[in-house]
Formats: sequence, structure tokens, C-alpha cells
Amino acid sequence: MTDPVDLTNLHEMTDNDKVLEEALFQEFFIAADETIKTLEANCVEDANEPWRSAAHALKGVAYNLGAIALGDLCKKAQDGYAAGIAEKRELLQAIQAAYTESKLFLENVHH
Amino acid sequence: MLIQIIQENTEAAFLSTLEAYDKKARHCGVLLCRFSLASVRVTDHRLLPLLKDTLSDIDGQLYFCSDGDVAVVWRGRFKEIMEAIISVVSNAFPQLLDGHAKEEIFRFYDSKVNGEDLRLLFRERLNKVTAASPQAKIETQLASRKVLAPAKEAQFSNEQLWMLHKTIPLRRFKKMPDILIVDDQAFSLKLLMGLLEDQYPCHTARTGAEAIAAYAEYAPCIALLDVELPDISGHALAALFKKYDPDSFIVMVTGNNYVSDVVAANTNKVQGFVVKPFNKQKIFSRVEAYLERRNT
Repeated sequence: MTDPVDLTNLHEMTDNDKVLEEALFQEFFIAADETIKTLEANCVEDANEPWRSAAHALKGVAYNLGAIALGDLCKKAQDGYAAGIAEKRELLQAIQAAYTESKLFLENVHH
Repeated sequence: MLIQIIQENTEAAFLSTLEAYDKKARHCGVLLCRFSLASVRVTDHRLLPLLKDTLSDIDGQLYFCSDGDVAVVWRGRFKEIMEAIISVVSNAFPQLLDGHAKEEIFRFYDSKVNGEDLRLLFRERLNKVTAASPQAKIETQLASRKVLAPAKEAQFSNEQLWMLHKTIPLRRFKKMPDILIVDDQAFSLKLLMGLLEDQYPCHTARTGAEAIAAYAEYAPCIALLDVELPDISGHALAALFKKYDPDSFIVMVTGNNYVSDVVAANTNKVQGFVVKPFNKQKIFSRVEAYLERRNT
């Protein structure tokens, strides 16, 4: 089973600076928590743009971190901003699950 | 010139505007276009300056909607205006406005109608589209969607312009190129800072307004601009910086690689378009491109 986050690119960009990486993980957690709350709040009718925008924001962060599966889900959410509520709820659950897995992984990276 | 940009609105307000216009003038018009095909999406940010130029002498209102749609309501004879708008948008984004959309718009509005007729036609069109089109799911939302707050205009204040004129000539005395990093995500700012700041002085901004202020203050050698910012589009910033500082070196850094973003970047003649996830090599290759340009 592959890791939920591939840190190869991040290590290269930070020159393996553990302090910087920890700070980036924290920023990722903050961004993801905030985004998931926004997605939850906008998993309703007439909220396509906030949904799209939140998904877009987390997508960039996830991809640059190396959380590709999470990034792909966010991309799907961004591109499918006009989808129905049921589909969005399903996507949101998948995003939450991917995030939980990524978070758990990152919390143990430097320990 | 009166072009009112509606900050926050709904279909009800949109329709009441039609009524109000109809009371004031015999002719009124409304253009409701879908400027999106397949996965391509044009955001309000890029259409705003185009439409504003086109509508410069029209007493009209612009509504920016989700899905890249734009609604324009104006008073006056509408066919000529509509043709002008379609021509501008078609020229700027040829791939985005298909023949069917044009035909439908003309068929729909090529007659004198009053506010009530327009309201009925608007509804009728929505119903028809909803029933017939494979895009029905998206179109249905036209009926109840909220109209989005438009982007702020990208403008330097007079003071900022004055400052920029003073700082641009100083650029050539900089020993190391300085870099302005603009991104609303703290993660991306930190990552790019971590990558660059050991070698190059960096400035950061999280909003378009902050970016404009920082650009005027430092006239940075390189600007890395995120496309989706909370207040102003990165493309609008790029256009502004290029306008007042033609020698600027701008790199768009974005999670979006939609055709419309590439088109906007090309239109603005920026020096790079880096898609997230970026890596060390992609970012440094842009810095090296700047250094190469400076040395020639």
C-alpha cells in the first residue's frame, strides 16, 4: 500500500529542513480544516462558487505537499462544482477520509 | 458612463432591474451568455475589463454569475450593443462562444420586448434549456443561482503610481533580484519563501490589494502571481503590472491549467506559467530566465 503523501518533492524543495516541513504540515492542517468546513457549509443548493473556490484552494496545497489522492479529489470537486448535492456529499466524505489519512501519516513523519 | 457593478445579488434583483429599465426607456436589453464550453471556463475577472471597455458608453449593469456566465442589462437599442459584446468576447476567447450560443441569444432578443416579456422569455428559455439540453444540470441553476461578488478592479492609486515610477528605475541597482510572491494560501507562501529566500530577497502578499501595494513599493524584479486570489484575479494583476511596468517579469503560479487561464496569461504576455504542483526546477528555471534576460 502506498503512502497517502509522497514527500519526495517537498523534501527536495525544503532541502530536508524538518522545521520548515513541520511548519508546512501545520499550514496544511489549517488549510484543510478550513476548507472542509467551507465545503460542508456549501454542500447545499446555490453555493457552487464557494464550493469550487474552497476545493481549488485545497487542491493546490495538497498537490504541492504531495497528497496527490487528496489533490485529485479536490480537483474533482472543483471541476464538478455544478454537481448535485448527493454527489457533492459523497465527494466531501472522500475528501475528509483522504485528509484524515494524510494527516495521520504526516503526524508520524518526523517522529 | 454608468456601469454599476452589483456586489451581491439574486435573480429577483436582476429581474427588477429589467423592470426598472423598461420604465425608463422604450428599449432595454439583456444578454445572458454562457461563456463556457466543455471544461473551459472564463471567470468574471477576465471578462470585466473587456466588457467595461465595450460598454463604456452604455447606461448598463453587469452581473457576474457562477459557471462563467455574464449577464449584462442596459438601456437602449440592444442589437448593436449585443453584437459588439459578442464580437469582443468572440475575438478574445474564440473557443468559448460557439455558434449555437450566438444564434440563441440573437433569436431570443432580436425583437422589441418589455420587462414583463423579458421576464417570461427568460423563464421560458430556462425551461426549454432545462428540458432539452445535455447541459441541463448546469443551466437549471441559472434560475436560482446567486450572482457573485465581482472582483475588485486592479488599479494603482495615484500615490502608488508615483511610488512605482520612483522605484522602477532603482531596479537596475539591485544586486540580487527580489521576488514578490503572491498567494492567498499560507502553505504556498511558506513553501516558496523557503525555496527562494536564502538566495533572493522576497516580499509576500496574500491578496491582490497587498500585491499592488507591495509592487508599487518594491518594483520587484520578479513577481510570482497566484491566479485565484480572494479580491483580485492574478491575471488582472499581471495586466496592471505590465501596463505600468512593461519590463516586469511575471510568472503565473496556479493550480488551474484551464485553457482560459493559459489564454489570459498569453494575452498578458507574462514570462511564465507554472502549474501546481511545482518543483524546485520549475521555479528556479524562471528565476534563471530572468537573470538571463537581465544580463543580455
